[in-house]
Amino acid sequence: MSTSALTGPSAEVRPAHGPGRGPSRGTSRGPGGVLWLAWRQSRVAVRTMVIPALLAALVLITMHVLIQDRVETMRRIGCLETGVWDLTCQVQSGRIGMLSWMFMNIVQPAVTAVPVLLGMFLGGPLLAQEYESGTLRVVLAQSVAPHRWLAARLAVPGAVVLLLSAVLSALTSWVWRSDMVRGTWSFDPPFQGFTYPVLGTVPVAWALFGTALGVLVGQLVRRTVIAVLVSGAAVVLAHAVMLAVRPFFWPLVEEEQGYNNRLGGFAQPTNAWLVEHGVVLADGTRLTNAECAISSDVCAAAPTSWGQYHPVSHFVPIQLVETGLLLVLTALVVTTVFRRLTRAGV
Amino acid sequence: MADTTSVPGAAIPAEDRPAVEAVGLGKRYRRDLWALHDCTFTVPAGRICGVVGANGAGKSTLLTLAARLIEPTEGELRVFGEALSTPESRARVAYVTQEKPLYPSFTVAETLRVGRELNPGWDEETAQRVIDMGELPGRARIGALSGGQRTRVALALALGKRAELLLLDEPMSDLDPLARHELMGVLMAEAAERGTTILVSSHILPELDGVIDHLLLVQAGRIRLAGDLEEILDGHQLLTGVADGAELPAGTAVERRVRGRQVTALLHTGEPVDGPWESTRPSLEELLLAYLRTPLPTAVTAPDREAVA
Repeated sequence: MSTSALTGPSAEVRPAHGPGRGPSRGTSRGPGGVLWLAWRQSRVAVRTMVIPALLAALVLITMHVLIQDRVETMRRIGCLETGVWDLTCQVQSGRIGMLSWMFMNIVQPAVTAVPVLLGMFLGGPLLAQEYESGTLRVVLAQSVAPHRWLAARLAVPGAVVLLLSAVLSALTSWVWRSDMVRGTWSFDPPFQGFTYPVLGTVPVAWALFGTALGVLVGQLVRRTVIAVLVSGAAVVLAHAVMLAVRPFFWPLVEEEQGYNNRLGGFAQPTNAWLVEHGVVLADGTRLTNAECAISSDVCAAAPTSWGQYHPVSHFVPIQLVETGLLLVLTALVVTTVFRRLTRAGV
Repeated sequence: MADTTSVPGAAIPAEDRPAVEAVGLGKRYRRDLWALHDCTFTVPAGRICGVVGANGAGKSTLLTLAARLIEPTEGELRVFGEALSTPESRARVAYVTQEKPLYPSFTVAETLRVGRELNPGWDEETAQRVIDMGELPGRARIGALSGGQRTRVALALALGKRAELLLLDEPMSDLDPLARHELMGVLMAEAAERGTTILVSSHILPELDGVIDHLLLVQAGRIRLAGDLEEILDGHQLLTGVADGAELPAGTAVERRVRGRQVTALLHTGEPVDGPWESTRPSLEELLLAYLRTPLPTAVTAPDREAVA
C-alpha cells in the first residue's frame, strides 16, 4: 500500500478525518477518542466547578423563598398600610434587610470573582501543566492531529463553564429582579459595582473570557504556579479596563437641570448610572464635580447643574455590547492558543 | 522547492525509502545557541540506530525534531520521505521522551486507553504484554509508580502504537538491569518482526552493544560519524605499540593515548599500517570512547544543555 507520495485515488479512499495507515487493522476514530481523553482530563475540574455552583444555586433559591415568605407575612399583617407598622413588621423587614445585605455584599462579590477564579484555577493550569510536565509531548506524539486534541481539551471544560455560568447568572438575575430592585426594602440599582457583573449575559461572557485568557497565559508562561498568579492578575486587569470603557458602550444621555442644592447637584432618574456631573455657570461654562471641589464658592452660586448618565433602559444594550466584545476577545485568544500550539514547539 | 523535495522521494518505492534523512539540519534555541548545526545523514529503514553523544551534544534535539515536536531552524529532515508533519506521518512515528512524562492521576489501564483512543492502528496485545511482564496492575495510578515502572508504561504506549519509526530518548536509564535486558528483548523482537526502524539515544554504551546496527555519533551539535556500524568499525583500527617507535600515519588518528611507554591509538582508516604496531578492530565501546574523549577539531559553540521543553 502506498504512503504519502501517492496522491489521487488512494487519497480519496482514505477517511478524511483520520490518519489512514495503509491496510493496517483498526479503524480511524472520530472525535470519540479525544473527547474521552478531554473528559478524563477535565473530570476533577468539572467536579470542582459543579459542586460550588450547585451550592450557590441552592443559596440563591433559599434566599428568594425566605424573602418572599417575609414579604408575604408583612402583606398579610398589613405593614404596607399606613399606621399599621408595629414590632412584627420591624422584625420582618429587618430579616429582609439582612438577606438583601447578604445578596449584595456576599453573593454579588463572589459571583463577580468567578471569572477571575476560573482564569486562575481552570484556565491557567490547563495547558501550563501539560507543558511543564511534558505530557503535551506524549499527546502530540499520538496519531491524532494536535488541533483536534486541543479543540476537545478546551471544549469540554468550556461547555461546562458556559452551562454553569448561564444557570448561575439566570438565578442571580432572577433574585435581583424579583427581590432586590423591585423590593420595597432594598435599593440595588443595576449599574452599581458588584450588581452589574452578576446580571444578564455579562457573567457568562466574562466566565468564558476569563477561562480563555488563563489558557493563553498558561501556554505563554508554561509554569503552573506562575500561570495561576499571572492569570488572576490578567483577568482583574481586564475587569478594570472594562470598567473604564463601559460608559462609552452606548451614547450617554446629557441633561441640564435647575441647580438642586439639596440633592448635591444633578439628580438622575431612578436606577440610572450617573457617569459625570457638575454645574453650569452663568456664562455657560461647565465645571465637573471634581473641579467644583477646588472652587466650591463658584459652584454654590451656579444656577444650573448638568449630568451625563445612562438611564436604566441602556442596561440591556450596554450588556449586549460588552458581551459581544468579550466573545470576540475570547475567540481571538482561543485562535492564538491554537496557532501557538503547533508553531511555538514543545 | 516542492519539486526538489518530493520528486526523488516519489521515485523510490516506499520500502526502500530511508526512514530518516537529514540535509543541513540545524536547530537554534536562543540567539547563539545552536543545539544542532549542519547535520546531514541518512538512516535506512529497518535499522536499529544508536544515537550516541555526550550530555548536551544534541541527541534529544535530534529525536525531538524527528518526532516533529519542534521545527528545524535550518535544513530539512525527512521522515519516510516526508518533510512535513501530516496525520499519516504522525501515525508512523512513536516517541518516548527522556523524562517519560505521563498523566500522574491516570491509572495504567487509562494510560493504555489514551493510546487506544488516539491511535488508529493500536495494538492492545503488545502494549498489555509489556505491562504484564512488569506485573503492573491496571488500576495502579501512574503517580504511584516508580521511575522504572513509568518507563515501562511509556514504552508500552509507544509499542502499542505500531509505529514504523520508534524514537527512544534514553529509554532504559532508570530501569534495573533485569528489566533493561527484558525490555530491550521486547523492542528487538518487535523490530525484527515488523521491520520497525528504531532511533535509540543512550550514553550507557554497553546498553547498545550487540543491539544497534547503525550509528549516529553526535558531538557538540554536529554529526561526527554516521553510517552502518560494521562499516564504521571496519574503517577503524586500534593500534598498540611502544611510544618511541615509528610515527603514526598522519591525518588518520582519532585519539592517541600514552600510558608509560605504551601507546594506544585509534585510527580512522581501514588500510594496514606499517610499523611496529599491533592492530585490532575496535569494539563499539572502544570506538565511541575514543571519539567522545576527543573534541571536534573545529571549535563549535557547545550547547550547554540538552533540548529543553
